[in-house]
Amino acid sequence: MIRILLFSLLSSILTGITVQAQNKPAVIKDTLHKPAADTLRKKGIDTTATAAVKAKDSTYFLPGGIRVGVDLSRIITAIYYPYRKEFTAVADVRLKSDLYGAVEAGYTNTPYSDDNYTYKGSGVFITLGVDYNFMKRLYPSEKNMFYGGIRYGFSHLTYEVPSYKITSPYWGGNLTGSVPKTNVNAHWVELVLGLKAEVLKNFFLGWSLRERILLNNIKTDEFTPLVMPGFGSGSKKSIFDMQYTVSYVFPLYKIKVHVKEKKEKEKKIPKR
Amino acid sequence: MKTIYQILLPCLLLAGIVACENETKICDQTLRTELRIAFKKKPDNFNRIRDTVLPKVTLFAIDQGKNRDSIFKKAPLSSVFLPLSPVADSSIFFLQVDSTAVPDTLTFRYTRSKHFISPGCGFGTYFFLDTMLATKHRIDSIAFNSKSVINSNDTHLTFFFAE
Repeated sequence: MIRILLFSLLSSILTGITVQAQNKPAVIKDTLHKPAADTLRKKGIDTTATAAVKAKDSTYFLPGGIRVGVDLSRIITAIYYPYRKEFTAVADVRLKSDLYGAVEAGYTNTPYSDDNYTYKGSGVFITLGVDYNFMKRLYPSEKNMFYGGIRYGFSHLTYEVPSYKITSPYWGGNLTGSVPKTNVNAHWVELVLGLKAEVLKNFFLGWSLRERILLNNIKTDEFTPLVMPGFGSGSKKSIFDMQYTVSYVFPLYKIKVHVKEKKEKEKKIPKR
Repeated sequence: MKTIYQILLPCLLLAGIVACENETKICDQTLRTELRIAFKKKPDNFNRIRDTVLPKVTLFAIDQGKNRDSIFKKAPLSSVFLPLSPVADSSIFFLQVDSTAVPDTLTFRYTRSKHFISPGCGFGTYFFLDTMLATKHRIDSIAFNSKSVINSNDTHLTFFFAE
């Protein structure tokens, strides 16, 4: 518990630093893309010759596309926790200038055995949701992101305990048995906070922190699954996790952004 | 800007690993579901009940006519824990509260159900007491507090002694 607290504290400090670092140069931003805005709008001025005042509206395009990647942190969990064999693919698609539709899917295999019991579990999961980019762009085509998101997660798991053993050191003797194949579904809500950085052209590295809150009960009187695909530990109601992704964006389309003239300036015109 | 990301990413990755814990390696919940019996003095004239420490308690199980190892041997105790047998539906115990006292025999009949404790501990047994028979050489009376033995924190039975 203390470890988790320390970790979240550390990460929030680190996140704070990056946000600050990102925000500082934001002052330069406006000067950078103003000329582009004005040149585009010139055409409009020509056609509407009646307008005596310069129109402040502008339109520019942002690179849109589908980003596809994998979660590398699952490789590390598989090394540290041999019973967790997981694979997660991530994808997102740019819907608006700062809004992304996000999907994650994967499967989990959970082979486990010790002196007391053997366990087999396998299942699949999918999460659907949105990410919102909080970071101001230094230039229109910047793709680095600092984002928050929300997801709905669903997973289906089949598990069984081929054999278990209850021992009594005092009485001696063992009681053996098994738990038959059982299907279980889980639903959860996931909150995400993370960074994505374009380290090479269209190639991204990113990490994110996740808080998952389980919505239904997956425990039974007989057994609790060890791992719920996509969620994590089957015995917990809420899970704190992280993801480390490598991804590639396929730039398939452009998003048109229309910047309206500021209202303050409109008010000034009738005064003249 | 990129250098910040390059520093942050491995740091967080490392912290992430530390934050996780391998559940199959830890068994922090008590694995034992043992029956706890508290010893009390029989209510006095003012109907007050007091705890009592019995000076030399000897306790062991009798399995198919044979005495098993002593759980307690001439120990001063105010309560005892009895490990019910997970492999049978009844358990018999021998209880002598003092070295000179006539021993009592306790017979428990119960139903069992398996129960998953945790990934680290594996499976355990829940007991639900059905009947309890006891000789009353030294025991004055018996009170049931809880018939379901699902942990070792409750007091399941109370034995009242006359002395």
